[in-house]
Amino acid sequence: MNTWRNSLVTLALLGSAAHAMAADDVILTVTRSAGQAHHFTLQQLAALPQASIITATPWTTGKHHYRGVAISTLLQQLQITPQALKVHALNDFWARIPTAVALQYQAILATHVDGQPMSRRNKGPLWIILPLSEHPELNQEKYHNYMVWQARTIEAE
Amino acid sequence: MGKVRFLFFAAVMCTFLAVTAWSTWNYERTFRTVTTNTQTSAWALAQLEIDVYRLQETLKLYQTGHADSKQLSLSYDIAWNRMDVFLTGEATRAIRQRFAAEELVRRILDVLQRHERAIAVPSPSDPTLAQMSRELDALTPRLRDIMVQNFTGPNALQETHLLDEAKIRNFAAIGILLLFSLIMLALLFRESKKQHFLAWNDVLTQLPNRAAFMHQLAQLTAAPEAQVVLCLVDLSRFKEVNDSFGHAAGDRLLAQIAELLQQHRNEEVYLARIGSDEFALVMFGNMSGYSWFAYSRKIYNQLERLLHSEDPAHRVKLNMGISQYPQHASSVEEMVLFADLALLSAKQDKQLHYQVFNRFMLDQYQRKRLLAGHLQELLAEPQNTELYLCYQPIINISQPQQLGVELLIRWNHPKLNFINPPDIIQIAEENGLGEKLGEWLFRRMRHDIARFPADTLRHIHFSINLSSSIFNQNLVNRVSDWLQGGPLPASQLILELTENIALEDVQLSRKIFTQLKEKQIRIALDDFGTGWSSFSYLKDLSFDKLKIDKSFIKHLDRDKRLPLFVQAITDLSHQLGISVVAEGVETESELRKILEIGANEIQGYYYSRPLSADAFLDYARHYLASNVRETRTRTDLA
Repeated sequence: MNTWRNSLVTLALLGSAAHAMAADDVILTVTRSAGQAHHFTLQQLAALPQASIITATPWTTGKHHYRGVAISTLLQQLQITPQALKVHALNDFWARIPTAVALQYQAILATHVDGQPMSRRNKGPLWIILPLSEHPELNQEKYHNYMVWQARTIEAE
Repeated sequence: MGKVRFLFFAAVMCTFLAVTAWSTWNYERTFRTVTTNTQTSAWALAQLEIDVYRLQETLKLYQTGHADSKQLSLSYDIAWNRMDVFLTGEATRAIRQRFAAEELVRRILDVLQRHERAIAVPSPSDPTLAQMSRELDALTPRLRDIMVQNFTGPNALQETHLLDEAKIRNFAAIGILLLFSLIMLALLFRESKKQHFLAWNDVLTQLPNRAAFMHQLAQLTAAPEAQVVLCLVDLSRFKEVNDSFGHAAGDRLLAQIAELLQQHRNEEVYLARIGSDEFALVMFGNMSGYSWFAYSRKIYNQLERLLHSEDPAHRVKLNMGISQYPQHASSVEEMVLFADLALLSAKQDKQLHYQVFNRFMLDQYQRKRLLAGHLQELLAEPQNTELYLCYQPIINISQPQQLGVELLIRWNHPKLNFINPPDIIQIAEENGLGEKLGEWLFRRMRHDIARFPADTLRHIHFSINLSSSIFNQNLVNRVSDWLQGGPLPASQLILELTENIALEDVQLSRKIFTQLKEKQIRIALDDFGTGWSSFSYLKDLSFDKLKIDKSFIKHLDRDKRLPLFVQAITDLSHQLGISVVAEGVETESELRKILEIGANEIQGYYYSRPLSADAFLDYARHYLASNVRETRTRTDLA
């Protein structure tokens, strides 16, 4: 881990200091029931197969292009098949998403909106996105609650 | 009418569906609006407040060295993000537009944005951070105000109000549904009541029908010690009113009768129409004890009066038959049967059209049923000795070489002795045995005359009485069949009809007469003088013979008026070419008188009573032998 961090430190994204998110910062931790934790940096996530969803949401204006890692890909990567995913956010919000729903609708952990990385000030760095526009049946409170922004930790249950 | 009703019910069902759908949709919509508004706006506001407070807190902790720059940056970003979300998107639009929340949140976000650099490169002692903290402190109480207002202010109530309105609309919808349900129920109720009424009542008179009547009788007699008097009212020859004035007139008369009965009924009288021209009055309670007689007599008289005024030709006759429970009958069925018997007796009696049941009627009825059974058996075996034929000679005055004879049926019942011939005919007719009886007559006659020498038989003419049921279009074929195989030729057969038989349908009668004549079968009008004795028969139908009833012959010699009638009938008949037969000639002076008047043939005890077949053969031989000889002598002399 340390060698990773050292070699990639120069690649940290700069710009506005507050927006900056170092590529080697852990942005996602997946914990399993056995107590094991898997940590992911933005770069690691970007190295995984990418998926996109174009959709509108109740919290944004118009349709946007979201890109990131499909939850199915992440679970495959970790070789786990949990019943549900309890997603915690930076702001202490959490939601329990049935894995079946995440898989059925190909939910993604979006890291980019319209090609730009998502900052913490704009629901980043990770936002669970469901294809609301494509599946109007998802356009209800219950599913809206699954769309956790500023996601940080996922408990596989 | 049925179609209209169906469409109405279909419309009601559609309304049901429409109102239900609308009400559900309406409630759903309101519920959605209200819940999304209240829940999302409450949540968004609360989260916003928390995140801003956290930022303030972290800011203060950072200034006092109790938090690091990362924590500060995180809570800063989270607050920013929260405000950014609040200011964009559909979810928070409603709350944004209320209480100038948007403006306030923009001002707070503006504070954050203005101090971005101080957060990016922070220092606990940076006065800018302190400035930012103060600015936030100044704004946050207003955030609190909006929170409170959102929960308690008029807008919150407005949402409740919205729900209330939806509730009222739903109640109104349910009210409409209930109203329609009630209308539908009322219609169904009315319909079923109507159906029920139709099942138990007669449409024309609105009186209970036969089924209801039987039901009521069973109920009335069910109580112990119950006494019931049943009075059946019947109109005989009512059909003639229908036939000549149309069914509307007949219906009107029936309705008038029903109305009259209704007017005179009291709470102890039950009325019903149990047949086309038959009504029933059931009297119970006190009525059945003593006043039923006077009451029924009164009704009888009232109905008589009504019929007299409505049927001036007096064709319709009113009959009443009465039976009592338990005095006469021991069951409902018996009571109805006994009243029917009394009614039958009333119909048959020329004077008393009002009859109360008595045992004699039942005896008569049972006797008839018994006889009917016997008769059926007897007719099935042609050679029986109980039933046989008698032959009464008829002397032809101008043609002494010919001899007439009338066949008379005799029934010597082993227990009841001789049965009256008209009774035999009636029993046969009432039990559908008319044709069988006719067939038996012919068969027995052929059997009897089989041993008559042909030389004798040649001179004898046989008269046979026809019952009404065989007088129809098949008569000629049937008689031809019965004569088939001899020995009697059709030309020696005379069929005797009574007036009432030929009267029913003059057109048909004429046709039958023509057919009979083609076969050389002759027709005699029997018992002339006892019935209507209408000239129209003589005008419309061509009889070969006319038989004057014995009531005109008896005491013909002593009465002054009788000969006038007989003379007139005889003269008229002769002018029409009809031969006249006098029946019941018993004395020599009667014979002289009738010969004087000019009758052609004589029947009666003066010449001979009815004889057995053998005795008649003897009589015929002697009669014909002497007359043929006489004729021959006369011819020889001439």
